Amino acid sequence: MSLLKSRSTAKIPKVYTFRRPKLSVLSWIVALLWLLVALVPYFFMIGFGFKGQTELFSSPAWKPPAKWDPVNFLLVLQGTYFRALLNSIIVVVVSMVIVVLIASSASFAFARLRFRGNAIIFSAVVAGLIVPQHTTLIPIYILTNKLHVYDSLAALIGPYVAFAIPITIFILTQFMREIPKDFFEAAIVDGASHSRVFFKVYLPLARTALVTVVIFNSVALWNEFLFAYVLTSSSNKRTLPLTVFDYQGQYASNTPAIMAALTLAAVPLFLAYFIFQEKLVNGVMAGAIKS
Amino acid sequence: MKKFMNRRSSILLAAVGSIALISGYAVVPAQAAGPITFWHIQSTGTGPKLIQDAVDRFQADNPGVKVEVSPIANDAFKDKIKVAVGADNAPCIFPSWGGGPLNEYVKAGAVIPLNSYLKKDNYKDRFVPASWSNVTFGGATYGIPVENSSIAVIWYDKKIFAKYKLKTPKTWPELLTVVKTLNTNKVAPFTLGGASKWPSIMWYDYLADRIGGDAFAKAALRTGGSFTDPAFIQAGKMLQDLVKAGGFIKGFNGLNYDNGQSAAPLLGGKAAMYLMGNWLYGDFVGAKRTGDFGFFPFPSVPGGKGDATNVLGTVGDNYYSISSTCSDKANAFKVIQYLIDDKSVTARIAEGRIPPVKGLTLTDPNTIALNKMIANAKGVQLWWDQYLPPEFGELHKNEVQKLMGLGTTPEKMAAAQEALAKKILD
Amino acid sequence: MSKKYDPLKPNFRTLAWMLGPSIVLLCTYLIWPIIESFRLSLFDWNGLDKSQKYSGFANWNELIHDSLFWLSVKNSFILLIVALLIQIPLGLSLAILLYRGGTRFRFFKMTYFFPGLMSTVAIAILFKQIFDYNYGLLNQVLQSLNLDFLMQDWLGDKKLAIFTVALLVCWQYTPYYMLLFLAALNGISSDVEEASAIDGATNWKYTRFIQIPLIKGAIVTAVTLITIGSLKYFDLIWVLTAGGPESSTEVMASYLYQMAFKSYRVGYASTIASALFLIVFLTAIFISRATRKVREA
Repeated sequence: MSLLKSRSTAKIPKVYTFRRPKLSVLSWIVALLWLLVALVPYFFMIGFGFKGQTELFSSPAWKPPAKWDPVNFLLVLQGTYFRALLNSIIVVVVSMVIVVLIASSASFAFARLRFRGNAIIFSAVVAGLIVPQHTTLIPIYILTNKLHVYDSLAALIGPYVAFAIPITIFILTQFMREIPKDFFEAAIVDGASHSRVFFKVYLPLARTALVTVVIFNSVALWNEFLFAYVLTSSSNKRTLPLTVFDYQGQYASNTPAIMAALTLAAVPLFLAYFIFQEKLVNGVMAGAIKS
Repeated sequence: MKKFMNRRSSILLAAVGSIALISGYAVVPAQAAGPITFWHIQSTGTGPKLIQDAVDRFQADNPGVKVEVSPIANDAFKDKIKVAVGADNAPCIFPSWGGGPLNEYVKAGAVIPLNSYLKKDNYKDRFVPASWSNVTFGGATYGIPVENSSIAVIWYDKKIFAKYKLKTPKTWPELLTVVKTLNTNKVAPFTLGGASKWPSIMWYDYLADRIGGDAFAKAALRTGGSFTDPAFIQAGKMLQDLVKAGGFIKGFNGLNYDNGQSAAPLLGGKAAMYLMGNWLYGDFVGAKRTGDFGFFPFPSVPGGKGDATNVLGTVGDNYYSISSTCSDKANAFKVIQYLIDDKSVTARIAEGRIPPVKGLTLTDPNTIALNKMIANAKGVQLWWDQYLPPEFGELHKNEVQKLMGLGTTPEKMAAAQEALAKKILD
Repeated sequence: MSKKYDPLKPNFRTLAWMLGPSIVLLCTYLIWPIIESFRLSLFDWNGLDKSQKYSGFANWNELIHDSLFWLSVKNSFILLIVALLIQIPLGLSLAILLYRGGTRFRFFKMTYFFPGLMSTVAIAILFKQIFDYNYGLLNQVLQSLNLDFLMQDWLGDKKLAIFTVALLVCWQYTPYYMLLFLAALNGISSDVEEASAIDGATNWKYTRFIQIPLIKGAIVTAVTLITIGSLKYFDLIWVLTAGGPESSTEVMASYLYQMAFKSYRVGYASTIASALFLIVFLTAIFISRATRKVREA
């Protein structure tokens, strides 16, 4: 995080810098070109959602709809959309609460406490970053059945939390190592227990890093497909990405309705993006930068 | 103050989290308490209502028995049910097409035989006899035919046929002539959902039936036949010849069925025909264009051993089975009976379907013609991917996609299928 | 530090509650499944039967001779190479562009990240429609621009499909790496910039000889993430092509899924799962070795 902040807070003296050179025509062309590439699919998706069912055949795909008819959007909203939205929120919030609680305490132990195997266990945990979900899929599926949580939101929490732990511990441990040791030593001298130091000193100090990991993990879990695909089945237990997937079969040849569903499914994350833009971007990036 | 707010908000967050956690656990299905869980794949159009109406009637007559209905999309269902059965967590009532996949569940003891229920009041006699073969294994019956009779026919755009003065082809050579005329007029003859694979095998399975007659049964049941039979090789060759002659719309192996991509060229007038199940009619209903499309049977092949009246498909699409983990099997069977009682039958006919019961009164000309075709058929061959074990079904679908993409030869495909048949069918 | 009292040494109970939950969860959902996958790979099992039939290394032997599996490995590596060749240079160029644009490009910075915001499933469904040969946006735009010769069967042509998929992956993920590089560029001390400006370096020279070497760490990070990510790729392919046409876009994960949940071969699927783990693991070690110098510099 300090990496991200330093530049923006530094005062730039009024000499020529490479940050604001005159932009060449080529730069503008490239800039506009990628803008087009990034945006056009979205325009297409939204416009298509407003089209009539047979408009696909009568006018080219790039034309805006003849009439901006919201009927498809209403159709989708009458379906399981809100249930799926709620499911996604529940799963992500619960997973995040658990991840923050258990990973932050583990990070504190790795960062500040001395015990045998600290370094080795820490490396092993971080190595978990590369484990492919697919390798674990079949056993986790079998385990889910044995625990009798198959086809429930609870089935998703275990794997979601477990797969979020390595990156979370990694980021938090790095962060806590940067917190001056004085804090720790002073508290211990005062007779505070390790647990107390963690709760009263380290956890509050790590707030910015916690925001980062929460955002980073939430975005990933919000869009998670594989576990939700395999571990749930009823339509009222599906999360948003899965509901979108199921829409395909439901609306069959009503392609505009499918596009309306995609648009509506994208709304929550875009809203979050517009509201928390800087934080969201930094959160997403921090996960990458630190590793 | 700031600190205080922070603590408050963190407490709030924890509270929200724990409530969510509790409700997350609360939605775990309580199998033991015994609501009748019921999955079906009538998830499009009026399908959900048909089912719900019947279930509502059941519940009105049987107060106190709870039925939980979940409509699921077709392709998603195929994966889900497999997963659920493997988990000993199958719903009480679930659909299938009979054949190989159902037999897997029979062998795993996941579904119960229904003979005792069927005997009662001669209930079995209500149904068309041809409907039972797909769900009968070792003398026991494991499914009740309910939804529809589904057969593959060739749908065509009447306006295009009229414009180029085409007659519906009765034989393969006539079909090739139609293909030629359409191509010279820059209309794609056939559309096809090649990316979904199962629409493609209709072509191969039909050709194999027309050419080989009972060659498939002999090969599949391992009664002296083989998948390398010349009939299969010829079927593969003829199909590849049709591809090479421009029989299919450009890009067909990239089109999906489920999202409506493959039907789009037919509805949009870019392609003239589609070999597809009679359920495609629902798309014409949805587009309010039922008058624009007609159908004809798959053409005969001169010199072929198969009867030209044979149809590919299933009588009783879908069947409903009861899982062995169901806690209230008797009532589950009753629910199924409501699905195919007289009221349900009438409702299904109104939707243009053909329920697999005897003595139907039909009015829609399309449905009458289809029903006649089924009644006159000497045999009904279930889609191969449903008839054979899943592993073979997957191989078959992949091989036909490759065959039509000209990525393999009929001989190589035959050899691959026979090799697997030797391994798992012998 | 004396042996008797070490203020850094926690008592067992403290350590247990701090580390315990994380370790239990990691063991349950990561470590045990890896071992269990390997165990299942030694069995012939359809996932339904109560009994699993021990078959030794028969599955592994089959895997080694399974041309479809090797095709899926090859495809995974094609995805990886295309991703490296496009995402790194493109992400870097866009980052430099945004950096130079500064506040003037604030709008671009916001919108450039859009592709990274949609769920992969939604992207796949959307682009199925865009890449449709007959009614797709891409071909129809090309047609209306009289560029008919560029019209392609983007997802139905078996030679092309894997590259179409690879480009779509780049569309989705380049914004992430762009932001990563941008963050790294912003982290370069302004002293360096001023010194270079005084030395009279041109824009290009500054970028080539000062900026890029200074963000080597971020580039290595990107290479690592792209590599590991590409080998695990599944969602997009599963929804977009399901491995077709003619297995031309089959990757390790989709082949695994197909075997487990379509063909009912859970034992064999577990073998693929174990192989996938080994491949990812070895690749990760290779990368970590290969990039050690850069990271330590």
